[in-house]
Amino acid sequence: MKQVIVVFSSVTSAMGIKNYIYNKYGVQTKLIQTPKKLSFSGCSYCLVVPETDLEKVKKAAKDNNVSIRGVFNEEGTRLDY
Amino acid sequence: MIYLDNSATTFPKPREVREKMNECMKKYCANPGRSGHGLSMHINKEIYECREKIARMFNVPFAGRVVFTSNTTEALNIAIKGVLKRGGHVIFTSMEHNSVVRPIYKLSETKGVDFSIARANIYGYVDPDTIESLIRPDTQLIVMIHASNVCGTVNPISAVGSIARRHRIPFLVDGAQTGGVVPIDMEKDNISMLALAGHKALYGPMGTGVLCLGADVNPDTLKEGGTGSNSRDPRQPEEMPDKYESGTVNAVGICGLSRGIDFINRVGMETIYNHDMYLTKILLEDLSVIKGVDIQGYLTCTDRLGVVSVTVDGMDCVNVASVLDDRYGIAVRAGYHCSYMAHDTIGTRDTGTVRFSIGAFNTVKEIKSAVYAISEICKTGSSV
Repeated sequence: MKQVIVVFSSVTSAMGIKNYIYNKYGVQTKLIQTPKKLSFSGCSYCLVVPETDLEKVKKAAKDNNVSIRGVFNEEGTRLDY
Repeated sequence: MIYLDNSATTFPKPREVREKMNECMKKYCANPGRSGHGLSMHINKEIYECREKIARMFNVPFAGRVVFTSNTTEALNIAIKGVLKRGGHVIFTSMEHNSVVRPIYKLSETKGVDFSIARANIYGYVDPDTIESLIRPDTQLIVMIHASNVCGTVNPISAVGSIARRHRIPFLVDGAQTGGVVPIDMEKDNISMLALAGHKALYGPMGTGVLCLGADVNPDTLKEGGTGSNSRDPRQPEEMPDKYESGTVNAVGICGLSRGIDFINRVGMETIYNHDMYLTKILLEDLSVIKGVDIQGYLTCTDRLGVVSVTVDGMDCVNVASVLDDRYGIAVRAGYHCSYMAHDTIGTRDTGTVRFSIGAFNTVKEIKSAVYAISEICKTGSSV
């Protein structure tokens, strides 16, 4: 299964979205520190998400007033967001 | 020892609070939000869970708008100094703690902030109409203590919140005494900012405070620095709650606070409140028949907490407290309780008061012992 990396500014935002989409959709994600090559302005945290569930993450972020700093594929290429 | 100083901090703490803090220090006390290793992620999860519990208890719009501070004073300082702009106007009540009064006086001296004081009646109750009558076009903030830490009177925050909303003025509530024992709903009560003490009625440890922010308020920061996020940006991040949480948070304390909230949820906030009020009723009734004892605030349990302040005729309140401690092993607080305006209001400016404050672990026997001790002191005097 292809996965994408969704970058957030803070660990609280990432943790909040992780819990939200698990509780609402049952989607399991992994919270990790953002690899340096994907971080724009230093330290941040990201969720590794099944590509098929990306739209749910985007909606969750919008519903919770949380900003997504970027979405990348596993190779580190920025996807349109 | 009989501990009746729960308004200063609740004691003892529930067993689960102590056990959780011990577990944290033994097993996963890494720095949260700074690293990506398993221990850091574990403590992140614990802290986030505590945010969620607080958000649920007080109906905060998002867990990210629950900001951890070192105490209520810091939370109030962020709210007051972050919202009031140079030359603005603020309304606060005559029952406020110095944690509200002093920051406002500082802003008055340094930024020309003007203020109006809504006078409470002799029982410490503030009429919402008094607040509304003080609103001006340049009013930037209304501040109200939910319950007096001096006499326990509970103020009508919901009515004042409605007024604040109607006038589109941010409303800050000091919930240091009530958070955890009296229901507070940020949305229904129209509260913009809610300052809480983790170590009082939330039964967490000292060193934990909380500022809950409504969706429509965004105070300026009190401090800036390391947040573990956006490290290459020299500016403070706007992301919540990082914006207000510079420096490592009190992770061990927050783990304890999390279990304090579990304790409240397990026992029931209403059960704890009813327990406190049952003991308060006994205390009020028994003290009221002792000659020479004057109870401040309401004599009934309506609109009050388990905080009972008294004066004893002809006796220095500090001496009374000393005798209670030395001779009877009863811990209370005497003096002005960091709230000199409240003492001006209720008529104890020159005397201060002896304050008994009740918590979830007090018993009828302890209350009876305190009443007996006061009656004996009234008979024999308070010379130490």
